[in-house]
Amino acid sequence: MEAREGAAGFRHPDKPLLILCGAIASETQAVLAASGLSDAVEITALPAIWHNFPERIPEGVEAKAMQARKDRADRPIFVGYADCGTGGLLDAVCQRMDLHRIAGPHCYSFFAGEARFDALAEAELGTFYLTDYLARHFEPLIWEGMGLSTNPEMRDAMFGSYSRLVYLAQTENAELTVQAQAAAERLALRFERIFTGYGELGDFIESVRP
Amino acid sequence: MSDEDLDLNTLSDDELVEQMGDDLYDGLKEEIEEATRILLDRGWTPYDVLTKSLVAGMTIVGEDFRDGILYVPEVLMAANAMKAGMFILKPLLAETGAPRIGSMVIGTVKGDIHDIGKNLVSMMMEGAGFEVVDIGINNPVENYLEAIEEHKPDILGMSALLTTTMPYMKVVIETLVEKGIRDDYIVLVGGAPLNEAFAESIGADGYCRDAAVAVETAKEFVARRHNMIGARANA
Repeated sequence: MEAREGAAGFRHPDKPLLILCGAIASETQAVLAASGLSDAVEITALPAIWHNFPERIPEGVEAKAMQARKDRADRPIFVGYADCGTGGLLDAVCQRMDLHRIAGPHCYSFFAGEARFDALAEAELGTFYLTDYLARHFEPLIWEGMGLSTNPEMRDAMFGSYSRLVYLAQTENAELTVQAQAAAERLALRFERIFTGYGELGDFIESVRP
Repeated sequence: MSDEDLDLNTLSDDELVEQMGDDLYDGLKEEIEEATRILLDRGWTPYDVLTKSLVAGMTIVGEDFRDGILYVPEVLMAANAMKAGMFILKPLLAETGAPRIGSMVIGTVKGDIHDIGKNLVSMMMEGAGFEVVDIGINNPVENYLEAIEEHKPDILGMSALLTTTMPYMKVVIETLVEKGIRDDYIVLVGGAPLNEAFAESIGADGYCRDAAVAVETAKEFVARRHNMIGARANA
């Protein structure tokens, strides 16, 4: 039976809510499905472009959480973000509203696993990372999103300190690998691909299980 | 008349300064060089050219970047144009004894290779009359200690772009405390993921959200410091 839409626009106030970054929405749905949790949780996504504007994330998450709690004050809410460049401000929201977020600094880290990501960064500081989502949306999110489409001559000024691009692949997808490789060429960076699967996102989704 | 036909020599001083603001915004390096020379030829002091045209124009660029109107490449182009103007002015500033407000050692912290924001801060601080020693990227605490020992600056500036590297600023400040030299320097921090609360929590004196704010914050702290030293001397 279709649930009645709540006053704040959520359809299943009886279920835990997962507020997540649009850039990990399909990966999260895949993990939820594999865990048999697709129907156990309601999910709502915030714009993936906020990858470029992390200062918008804490306020966006807080607004969604407040809406959800209007329907049900004790509703369990999970946050599908790491710190993601919010410099602790997302943690402050989570603490204030009793929300639970994914551990770690960003999605590269939880997909690769924190230890492996630290080793990658340690091995070569000048590493630019892509995930499946970022490989697929490199053009609008990175090339256009960072203003390089209008001023491509500034590429080296922006990426001069980088030497390689590591594509952290969540899925075995030859087409995405080609796109990630093309992105590396466009940024004039050495290309490497590492298959990560969904990494620590799986552990987080387990914690959502009612 | 289109902009391409515009003869900068025909503009009044006010019009030329306004045009320089536009040209800086558009990253037009050659136009900035030409206008800088014109103002100097008209008898402007190098310091006035710097502060009233270049720094003023770059402040607007910084504000529009912060507000999401400009992207990083556009800011870099504006910075390149400003640098070209400063290149002409720098030797003249030294000759004409332009005011020196204070000094700063600045660097990006260990584990972080990002330097666009830091470079903008360095440039704007120089433009405002600070002597700046830029120690580059990926600096362990030893580099900061060595640089402040050598240059004895008023300000130590630290930059970080990553959530994972910003905690290293605390390591540097704690080392200064351990060595009993923390209060010898004004410590200013900045970088995209930082905020006031973080700066306060690590014991920095100030958080600078952008290059223009860095200049204003630095001026304020240095003036306060000089006043304190003056008051002590007079006591």
